[in-house]
Amino acid sequence: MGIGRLLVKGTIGGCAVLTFFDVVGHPAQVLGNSMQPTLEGGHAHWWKRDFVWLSTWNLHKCSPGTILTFVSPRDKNVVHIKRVTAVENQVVRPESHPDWITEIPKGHYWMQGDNPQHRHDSNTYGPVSAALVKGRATHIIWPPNRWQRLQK
Amino acid sequence: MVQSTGLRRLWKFTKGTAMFYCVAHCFSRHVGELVICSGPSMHPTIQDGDIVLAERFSVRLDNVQVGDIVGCMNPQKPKELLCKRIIGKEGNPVSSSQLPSGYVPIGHVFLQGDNLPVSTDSRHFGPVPEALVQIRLALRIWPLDRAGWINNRWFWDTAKKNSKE
Repeated sequence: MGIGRLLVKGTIGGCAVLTFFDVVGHPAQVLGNSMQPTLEGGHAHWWKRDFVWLSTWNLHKCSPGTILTFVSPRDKNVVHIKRVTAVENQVVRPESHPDWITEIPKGHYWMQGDNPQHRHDSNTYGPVSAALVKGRATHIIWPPNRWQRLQK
Repeated sequence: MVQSTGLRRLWKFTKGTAMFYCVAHCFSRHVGELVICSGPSMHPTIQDGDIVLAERFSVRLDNVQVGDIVGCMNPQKPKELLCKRIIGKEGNPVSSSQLPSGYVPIGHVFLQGDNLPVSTDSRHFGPVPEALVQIRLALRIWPLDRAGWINNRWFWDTAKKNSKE
């Protein structure tokens, strides 16, 4: 009897946490240095890398300058964090091929890392569909001395 | 006294609703859900107003195969779910004006509706990233006279034995 009740309560509690993560937001760690100097994710120890809070509200129709996480269009198991630099109907010139003038299709973003030395972004794989976006980085929550709001 | 029981009732009701919402949300996110199909793009396999049971396990287990009918987020309208058939997975040859190389690129799938003249699909917006494929349609439950399996492969079956096309 007691174990059954505990199982039910645990399941409902787990569902509540998952729903909160899906609907409101969740923390995540930055890995890799493509967003330096804004986000620090290149350190070997996890406690020296940044944690960000990802909000899952208002993901669509983001303006340029917003930092978003999205699933890589080339690999569904990889999540990238980049900055929106252009939105639908704008025209961009990829850095590697400035003559390939691209008009960003409807519902897509042009995502770029902040670090020009080290990045793997829309210059490599083209515009990213807004449906791939998973979260919007709003705050750096760890380490404490870097605590800050991220946009606007 | 009356007020406090009223408040307690309200609290109980709110708590119950919240718990129900959370469980329903998790179930639809991780197990499967009911999809009400609209639009003519999959006619005659799936017709306007059909209600179909869809499951997420085969997407989670990477077991979506060519020929499956899947629900996929519209790459151009992020909140819309499209219902199409997978024509090609990465590396498969597909002839289309959207694919200059003739092959589906890495990490993408090529989708097409069964009703070729009216369907808006990969022939218009190109191959879509695999991550946009959300659910696999499995069992039609409404209307009753056409109820039955859309795809009679279980989500753990890797061999293709799909007959109802």
